[in-house]
Amino acid sequence: MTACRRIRRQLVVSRREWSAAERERVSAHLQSCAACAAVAEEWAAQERLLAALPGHGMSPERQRELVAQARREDKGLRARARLTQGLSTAAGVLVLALMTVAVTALVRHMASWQGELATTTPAHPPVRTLPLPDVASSLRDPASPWGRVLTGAADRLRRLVLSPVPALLTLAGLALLGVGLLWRRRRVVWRVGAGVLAGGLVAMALRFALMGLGPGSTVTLLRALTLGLRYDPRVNPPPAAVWSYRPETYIGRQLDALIGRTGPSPLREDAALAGYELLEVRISRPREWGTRARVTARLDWRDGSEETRSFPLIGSGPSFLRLLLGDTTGVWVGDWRNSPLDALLTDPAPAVPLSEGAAPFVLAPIDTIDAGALEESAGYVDIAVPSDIAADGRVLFDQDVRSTEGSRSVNRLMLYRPGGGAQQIAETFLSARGAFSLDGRRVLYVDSQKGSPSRLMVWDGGASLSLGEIDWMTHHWVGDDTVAYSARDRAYLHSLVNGSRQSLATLPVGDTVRAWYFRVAPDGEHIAYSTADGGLWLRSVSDGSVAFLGWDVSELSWGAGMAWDARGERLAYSTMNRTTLPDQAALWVRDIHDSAPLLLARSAPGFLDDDYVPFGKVCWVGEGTVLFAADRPNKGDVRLLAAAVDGSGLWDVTSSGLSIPFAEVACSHGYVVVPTSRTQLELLQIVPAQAIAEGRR
Amino acid sequence: MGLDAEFETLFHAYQQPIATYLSHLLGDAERGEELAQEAFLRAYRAMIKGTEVEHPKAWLYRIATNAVRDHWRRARLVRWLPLWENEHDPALSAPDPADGVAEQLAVQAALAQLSPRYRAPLVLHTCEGLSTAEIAAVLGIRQGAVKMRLVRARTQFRRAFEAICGPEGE
Repeated sequence: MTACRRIRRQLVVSRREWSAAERERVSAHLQSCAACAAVAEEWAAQERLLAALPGHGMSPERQRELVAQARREDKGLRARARLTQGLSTAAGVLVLALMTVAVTALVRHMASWQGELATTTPAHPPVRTLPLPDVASSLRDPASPWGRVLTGAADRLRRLVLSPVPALLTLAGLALLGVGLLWRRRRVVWRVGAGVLAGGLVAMALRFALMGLGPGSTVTLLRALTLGLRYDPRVNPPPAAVWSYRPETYIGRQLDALIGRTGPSPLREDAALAGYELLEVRISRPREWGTRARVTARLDWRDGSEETRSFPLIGSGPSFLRLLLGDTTGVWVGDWRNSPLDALLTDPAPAVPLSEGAAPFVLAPIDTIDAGALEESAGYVDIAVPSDIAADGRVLFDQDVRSTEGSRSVNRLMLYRPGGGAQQIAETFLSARGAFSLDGRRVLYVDSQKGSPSRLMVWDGGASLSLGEIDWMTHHWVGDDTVAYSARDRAYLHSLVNGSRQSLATLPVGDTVRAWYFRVAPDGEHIAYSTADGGLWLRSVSDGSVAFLGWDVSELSWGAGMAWDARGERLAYSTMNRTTLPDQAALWVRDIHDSAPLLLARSAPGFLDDDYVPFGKVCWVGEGTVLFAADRPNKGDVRLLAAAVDGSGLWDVTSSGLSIPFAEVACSHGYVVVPTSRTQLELLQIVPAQAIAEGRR
Repeated sequence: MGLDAEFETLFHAYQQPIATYLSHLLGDAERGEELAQEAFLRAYRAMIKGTEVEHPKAWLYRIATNAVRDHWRRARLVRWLPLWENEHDPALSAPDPADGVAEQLAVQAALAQLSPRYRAPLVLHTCEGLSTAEIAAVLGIRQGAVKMRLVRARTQFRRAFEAICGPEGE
């Protein structure tokens, strides 16, 4: 700025605002600069002209008008002002109270939170690629203050909220706003409060963006969202909770399948691939259409050669959104498409062949239940599904009854007595899935009504007693007087003797289809359950230990893909290995005292003359045999298979001439009930081969 | 007057300066008086609501300035109405500087030709005697900006006044 310009900016200011030094400087400049002196003179003349403009006061009429208008408004204005002040005060008190509660909660939980943050997730030795570290910890700590659903989100939220600077700034800002509300809305307090609050929120956003993706992770969210991820899966991989679709899990499981590691015992003894090591994972920045990934692995072939290969994958959907949802179990391996490994997996492990010799038992038809003929009301039975059999041959089944117009349907839980007709126990909206107690005196079922939560009921031959709400179809008997079921994702044991309810565990977080899937051993000592990613686990109730059993329980026959023996020492369960093409079903039995299960059956192309055979309903027949259903989708029927639990034999025991259209079968107490059409059920008796032979003699 | 004593004191102290300021700003005494009434009503409502007033003078001038802005916004005025009315007045096109009333009219007309952004600080400074700090508080701008606007306002005013009265008018 030139001297003249500076002086002119000084000249526009009133002389009374000048300091002595400014006065001297201006005076000296005006003496030496004619142009500025002229400007000063001109502006002084302007000031005289403008100052000479006449003043105007408000006329008395205008003043009276003002007073009258003010009086008119006075009452309403004061009332509104009082109301506003009251609301402001209340809001201020509320904000301060909330702040007090927040600070108190923060201080109270600080120590335990810090402790939890330092805790590492316990490892599961049997599992090579473990996608669900938080499931085990949440099972072991059902009293987690945040609950299982928010485990992942809570961890990030905790780290965010516990960051001292953003948290204190935010709290201080809110407190100042509260004070501002209380203190007659002082504008300066408001402004400072808003500024501090904004600072706190900006600090929080920055902290969130620059936060490591998981405990110990050096990759930040900001980097992941803008540049993508690149990490060594052997060292500090981001937790599944943060980058929920981890491609190396998928590749690892496929490679495992190739070398026979998927599942607890080798699937392939003759695999060409001997081992592998995952070296690097690159995940591109999430796009709207999905995420691209590349997994690099070193493959060790059985002939001793090594090869490093990259497997590109495309994941559908912007997986980073799950970050905000905090889903800790969202490893959905099927979401990675077009794996180049698919071509290598077209050669599945060999099937367990059917035995040549005679089966240990045969299934003898003893009665036919024609559900359509039992229906007396106006309408017709659309489908009948058996659910259980008592020791005396009584059968429980659900029948879906439609009105003759076909517009409305209800479900009826029916009790069939051989030779004695049928009795309706309950009318429900969905299937009731009745189950007899061991002594056959009581029936457990689910009462669902449209628009209401499902309720677990016990029928004792007369009245039905409600035990409370239940998640979908989780109920089963544990002994004669105890019922196991889940409600709101917790597993319970409910004693019918004293009405007490004991919480067993928090079920794994996941979609509702999977979360209910659990079976408690008859002695109540162990729980077998499946998780959202398809993992099957065994948990000891007494010591909390968890063992991995395999992947993907068969989806046939809800909740029936696993069965405990009568003593609760052996678990028979079916699995479905979806990393092979086609999927391979297998049946296993595991003694709880052993570390490895025994393979009883496995499907492969050609097994039962079909390419794709999933296993479903499993039940024990005595001490040494299990009976299970095998669905043949390509043939459109179901076969009943029997397997010796010592692995010595596998037999097709379906009676000749018996056609089972769908895999809804029930078996118990030496009986089997199978559907033979949509509305007809066949009651079969399990007759030991030895008894037949003796009868013939 | 029946109003709060605080407001009554403010009213008596500032009703004339505010009315004068608005009259000069608008170039219309009647309209200025009307807006002064509006400005004091706004001040009264604010005081009833519990607004704390630390600098009453700057506060009242700010309210008055906002009232003028609202008035212009309502009227969608981009130029100074009285000037348009007076542009075709032969009596104003060449006023006799010797005549005091004519000189005042010429000053008013020149003032009206300034853009509102420069007119308000010039009136506040020269007519109402507010310091640059007070003007900054009234207009919600920084003191440096006030000085800059004042320099430009004086330059614009000289050109407008010369255009009306001729250079000798000064």
